[in-house]
Amino acid sequence: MVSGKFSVEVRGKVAVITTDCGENRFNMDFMNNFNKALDEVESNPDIQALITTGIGKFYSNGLDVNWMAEVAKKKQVSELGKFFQEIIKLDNRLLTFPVPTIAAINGHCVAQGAFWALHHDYRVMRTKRSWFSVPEVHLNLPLGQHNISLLRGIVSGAVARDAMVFGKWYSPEESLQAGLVDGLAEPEELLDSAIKFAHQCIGTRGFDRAALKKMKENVYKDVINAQDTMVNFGNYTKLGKPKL
Amino acid sequence: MPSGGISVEVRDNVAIVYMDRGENRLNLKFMADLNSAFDKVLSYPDVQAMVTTGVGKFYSNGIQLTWLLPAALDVQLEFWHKFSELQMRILTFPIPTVAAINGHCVAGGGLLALCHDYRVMRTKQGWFYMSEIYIKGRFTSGMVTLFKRKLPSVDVERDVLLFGKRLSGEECARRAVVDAACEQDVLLDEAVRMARDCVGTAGFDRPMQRTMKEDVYRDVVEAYARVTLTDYVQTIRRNSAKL
Repeated sequence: MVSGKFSVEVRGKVAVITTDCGENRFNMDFMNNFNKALDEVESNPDIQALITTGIGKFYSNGLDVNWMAEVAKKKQVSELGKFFQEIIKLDNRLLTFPVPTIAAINGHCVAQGAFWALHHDYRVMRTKRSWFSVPEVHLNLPLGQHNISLLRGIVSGAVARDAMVFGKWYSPEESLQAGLVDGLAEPEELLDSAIKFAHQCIGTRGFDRAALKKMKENVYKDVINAQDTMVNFGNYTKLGKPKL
Repeated sequence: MPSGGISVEVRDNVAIVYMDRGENRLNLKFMADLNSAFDKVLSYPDVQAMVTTGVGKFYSNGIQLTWLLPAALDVQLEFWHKFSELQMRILTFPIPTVAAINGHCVAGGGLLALCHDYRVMRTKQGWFYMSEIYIKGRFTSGMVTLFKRKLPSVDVERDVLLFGKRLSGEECARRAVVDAACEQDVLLDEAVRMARDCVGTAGFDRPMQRTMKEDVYRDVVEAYARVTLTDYVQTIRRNSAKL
């Protein structure tokens, strides 16, 4: 029953973007839809916080590698290059979004999906039966300096080592302990928990949008300015399913 | 089993490099032998992780200063160049690495241990410390970047680097300078267990593991590469004259 749709719902001061695209993998369509949803949120002056979430088993399972393989097959290398630039642009847009952002992680949160969640200000994850990981090392895929420096700013060096150098898979409880997420909630209570986080962050006065955006740009300057080259997909290997 | 000098033992998928030269002080020969041992480790295709350890009271007491400080300028330069290479080799080793710190781990020895992915240290005996503040040693910007990546927090950096604080195995574990501490008689088994835990069921593709470490630690690798060793050696020579 995957609708393939993005929905933008307003609950008082908080906007919720819900993606109902199965594994919620990143391709050009997904990102174009996300940008449109973000435009809708930004254009509403009453919104003081943003929550993103998915439906079903996945928050996001990462890049849409099948779509990328199709593009590569058609020898549209420049389109792939543009795709990677757009990912960074969208990441940076979320990183410096003018209202607080919370990822309500409803399911598996993997690779680009995990980095997407990490670009939010806060993360709340459902308990049990979901993995958080950046397993690129197991897939023979390198990580870019943008994402590396992002993760470094959030977790300790030891967690950065385990998560990136060794591609560790984290349960929700382990994710909380490692500092990858800020809170856990039972699946039925996930959205309410995220909304509570949002209200706590907003406080009584909220934030001036321009000031908040500028502050994020300054605080995350190293991440935004990190130099990256295109990821080489020549070594892609199929990822086996971890034991659940 | 260690047999004097630097030797390699293979236990299924884990290779153990024993440093059995007393204080395991670093000089050109020691580093050449250590590199040969690393070559040997990597020559076994079934080896999926490496543990390094000392034998006796020392993991490594640092650089052999009695040899280095009076040495000719070109020898000193060669030493620092090779020492930097060795540190970066360990930092970006193509298989997981565990330092089983069996005893004193000081200055240059501390650097080597910090370059490993994991550290487990014995309890009850042996100190971990960076003595440079006391012997007028200087840290290069490469080393400082390594410390920032590998020491867990700024208060540990302060105590260990600025104030040369000596930490026991227990304190190292408590302050997360090492990943675990245990009794000496189970140290090696614990290190091997940690190595196998990291390897998991599938292990890692060696070139990809190397690449991932080079990417994740790129700021450290680049900082080491940018150090002007000639300037550094001159500084050390000037400082050591004041000792």
